[in-house]
Amino acid sequence: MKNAYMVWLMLMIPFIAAQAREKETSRLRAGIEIGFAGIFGEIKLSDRMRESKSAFPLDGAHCGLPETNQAINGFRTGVKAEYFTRNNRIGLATGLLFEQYSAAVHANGDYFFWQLHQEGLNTYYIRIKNMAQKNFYLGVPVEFRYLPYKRELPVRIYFKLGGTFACKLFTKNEFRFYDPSMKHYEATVLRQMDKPSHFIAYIYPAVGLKIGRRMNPRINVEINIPVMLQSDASSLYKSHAGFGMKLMVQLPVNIKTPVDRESIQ
Amino acid sequence: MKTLKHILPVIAALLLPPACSRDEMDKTVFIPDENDRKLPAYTEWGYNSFGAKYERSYFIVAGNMVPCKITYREGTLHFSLRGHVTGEVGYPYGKMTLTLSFPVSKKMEDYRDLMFLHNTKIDLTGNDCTVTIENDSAVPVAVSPLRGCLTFKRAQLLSIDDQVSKVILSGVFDMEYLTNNVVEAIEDGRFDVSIDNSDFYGYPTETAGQDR
Repeated sequence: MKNAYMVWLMLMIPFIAAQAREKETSRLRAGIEIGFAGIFGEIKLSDRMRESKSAFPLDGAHCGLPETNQAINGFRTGVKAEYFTRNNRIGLATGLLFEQYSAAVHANGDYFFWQLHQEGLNTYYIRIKNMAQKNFYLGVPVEFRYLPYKRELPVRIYFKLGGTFACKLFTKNEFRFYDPSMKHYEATVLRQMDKPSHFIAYIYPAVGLKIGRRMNPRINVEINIPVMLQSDASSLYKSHAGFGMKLMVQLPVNIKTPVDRESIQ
Repeated sequence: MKTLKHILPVIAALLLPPACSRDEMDKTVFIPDENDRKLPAYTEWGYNSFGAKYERSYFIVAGNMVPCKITYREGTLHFSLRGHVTGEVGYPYGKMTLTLSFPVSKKMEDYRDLMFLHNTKIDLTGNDCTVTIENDSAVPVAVSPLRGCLTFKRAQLLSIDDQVSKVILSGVFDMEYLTNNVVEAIEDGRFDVSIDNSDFYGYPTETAGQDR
């Protein structure tokens, strides 16, 4: 929790800096955003995970692995500065994002088996009820925003193409063993698991609504389609693409001269 | 009388009590073979699965049947596979039990003794080997193998949560045999079964085990 607070504080620094510069920057706005995404893919098969669901046609089952959540869940928050061209229709934004990706694997039945090790003809399995993993990343987004209509209406539609490159800060794992006394194997299982990627990148086309006039606080609501360029944001789940929603609040840091105001009106 | 000697262990195998606790390790997990998806892939995880081509059909594990029972009696091990005979489209049209009996030099009293089978190849045309096939609820029929081989590629003593629980037997089999003067074949067979005392029964020793 302390780590998360520190990261949040770090994220706020450019925003505060932008506030301080507000009088000398034109067409530059800073804001905060919060977003969620569900990114779909498939469970990542570990060599040590025993399949537990039959694909036998008479059983009516179709896959052979423990089940995962339907998607990897992404949560992101951060600060962004956005620069608009003179006609106020094209924006270029960047900032810092704190991102969290969480995925979980659940047993189909009471548990699934994890192969701990093999020694000669002896094989050792351990029973696991579920595994959950959260990975935290710090990302730098670059976004290109286009507002198709010229008129400065209170609500305007926009289209966006963005991309984010992020590096991993830390990972949290949680295991529930069927026999709680086996918890001492947690470190062994952790060591045997695949590691999430240190770096991830994704692009996202988006469409949204800009609410608020230019000189006022502005709210942007958008839906986006994140497409992962790397599928390793979790050890448990291969993520490919999904749906996301984002809410941005841009504060009126961009004070204009009277001449500029007239040109806007 | 000789037939009765062969058939009795088969009947005993069929009468073995079903596994009491249907835990995850007792379930059948069917992982399709990449080359022929109607057959299970060869695995060594104890998936309780088996399959073989049987003439123009398939003899494969059934989700509602215990796939393997093993009995030991007087130096002979009876290895029984029970499943369905299915057509090309996968619908079952009959139950079948295939029992391969062969002599072993080790006396077997407990499922853990099956570790002895690791890396063992059995020539089913040997004098002391017998093969019986039971279709549906008919009486098991002893058939004469023309050629055939049963190979236990790997035996693993499995511990689950630090407790020895089962023996995993993985291997392959195929054979050609005469039944009512007709040649039939079971080919490309593979099995991956986990055995504990609910699937294994060793008759109390009456005479010394026969060495092969």
